[in-house]
Amino acid sequence: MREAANAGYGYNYYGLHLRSDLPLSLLPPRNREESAPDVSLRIGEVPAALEDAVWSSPFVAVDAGGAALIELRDCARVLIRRGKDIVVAPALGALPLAVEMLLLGPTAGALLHQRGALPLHAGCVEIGGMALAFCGPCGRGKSTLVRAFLDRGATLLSDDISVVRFGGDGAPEVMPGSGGVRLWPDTRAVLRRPDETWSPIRPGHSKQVAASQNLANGPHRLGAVIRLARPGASAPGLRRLHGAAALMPTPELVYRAAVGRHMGRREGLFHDLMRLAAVTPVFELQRPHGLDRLPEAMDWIQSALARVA
Amino acid sequence: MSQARFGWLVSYPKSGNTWVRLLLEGLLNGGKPLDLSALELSTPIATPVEFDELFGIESSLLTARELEAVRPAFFRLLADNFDGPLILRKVHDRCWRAWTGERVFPPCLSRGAVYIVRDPRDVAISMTSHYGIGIEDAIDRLKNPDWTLASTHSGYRSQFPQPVGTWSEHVTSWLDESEMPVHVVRYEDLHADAEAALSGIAAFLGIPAAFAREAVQAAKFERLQAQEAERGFSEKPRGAERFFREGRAGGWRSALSPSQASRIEKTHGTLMARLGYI
Repeated sequence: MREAANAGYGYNYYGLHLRSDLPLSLLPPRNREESAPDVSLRIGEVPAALEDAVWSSPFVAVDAGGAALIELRDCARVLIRRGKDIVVAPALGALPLAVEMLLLGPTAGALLHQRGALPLHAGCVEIGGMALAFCGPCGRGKSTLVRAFLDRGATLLSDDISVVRFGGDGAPEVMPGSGGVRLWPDTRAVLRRPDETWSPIRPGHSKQVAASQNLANGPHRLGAVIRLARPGASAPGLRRLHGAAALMPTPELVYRAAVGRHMGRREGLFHDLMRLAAVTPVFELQRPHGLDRLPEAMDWIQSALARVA
Repeated sequence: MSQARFGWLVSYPKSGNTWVRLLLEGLLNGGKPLDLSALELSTPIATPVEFDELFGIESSLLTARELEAVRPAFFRLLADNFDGPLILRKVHDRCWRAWTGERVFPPCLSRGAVYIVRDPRDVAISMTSHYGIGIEDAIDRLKNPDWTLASTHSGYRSQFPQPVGTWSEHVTSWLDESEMPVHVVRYEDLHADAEAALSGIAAFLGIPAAFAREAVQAAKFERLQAQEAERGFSEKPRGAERFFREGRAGGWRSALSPSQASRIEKTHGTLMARLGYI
């Protein structure tokens, strides 16, 4: 047993090779012989506070060196350093899936910002060989669209965080990330399939997650960014955005942009977004109201994608 | 800079909060025509989107208990991230404390609260079209101690749960607030002389009232109705025909039966008398 624990588990963690003490149910597995790990996740002691924090909230702190401490008291405390070391101290009796949600969400966000990556706040699917990123802050329907496109034969690249990397030719690619789609009860009731297992993201929480069976096995070229508009703020439709309108406000595009800014990524993130928008079409989607009209919005997206491809 | 920068624009739902937000918007923009779509930016209600950015973690990962515990911290973090002398926020909550005992609207951060109160008999009528309920249900809601806005967890909510309570509890919780200044504005007085009422609010909040007349003109009910008809209003509930419905005071006299009016008076009589409604 001890030997197995030391060997750890290998995963694809937003394009990074993660070696983990903890088994994680929602990340694509990775053969541990294939390369040296980029990131190590181990169980250990984590301090209650950062000594020289430059910014903190009741749940997250960042120090002058860019290290981050994240804590949900009944769940886990996590220390993230140098973009490659994660130490996690699960709380007594913590639900493993809840710990995993913390590791796949805010922990990944901090680590990716430490590495100077571009983590879009987006759910992403691959369809017809192209990645399609649905971008926006909480509640805009990222996971809803991801889930609906999976039913149209798409494969899942990532739910909620989509890391963009620029290839050798400057083309942006999206890395595979979390393979669990999270939905609230009202959306789940409409989109769930009988063969799926849904589990609460925290004990008693009404938001639940299900592992997707259709996971992309590698990065895909980003075909379009679809920014999801605030409901009611504009008339239903899909419109192309140009210039500053495509990139602003940054926090609606980048996952935990504020945490990135506290790590000195303000200018870097903006530069990366400019680079992205220079080569990738950006659209704004205002969905018609109601899940029954979701297919209509999906048709708009697929037509637009066909035009720009 | 003073720590006490929050100006809370508080009311029980359907009591004129949006109107006052629009009047203040007009005052602050020099009396220029109003854009309904910009209102959420100038006097917003606390949202999960804002929370996630301020706390560095998604509120959807938190349990209801964890979320409630940090509601007071939300406004502290917001103040840390906000430049400028006055932070205006819309509030429908009664004045309450989280289970930790902490005040949700911390007095030490508050310049004061503008409390807009409206005859509950008119509130009941306004509630029927806004919430798509019958008048009897609206009267019941006025006395429901558990009424909380955005409380269900059946789906994503764009706002946090806001405990409202009964109409009487709501009014009392703010009128009897002792740790921060409270400026009470009766909807009916606003109706009778909006310019005077707005000037009073401006003086209380420390805003120049030079454009009070223009602001009142810009927020004329007919203009708001026309703009809603043309471009819509994102704060209108999906089921409701329109947000800006009648905007009048005393409509209950023709819309409520004597027994309906009497039910409201019986439940809320003490407060109604204190406010000059009966």
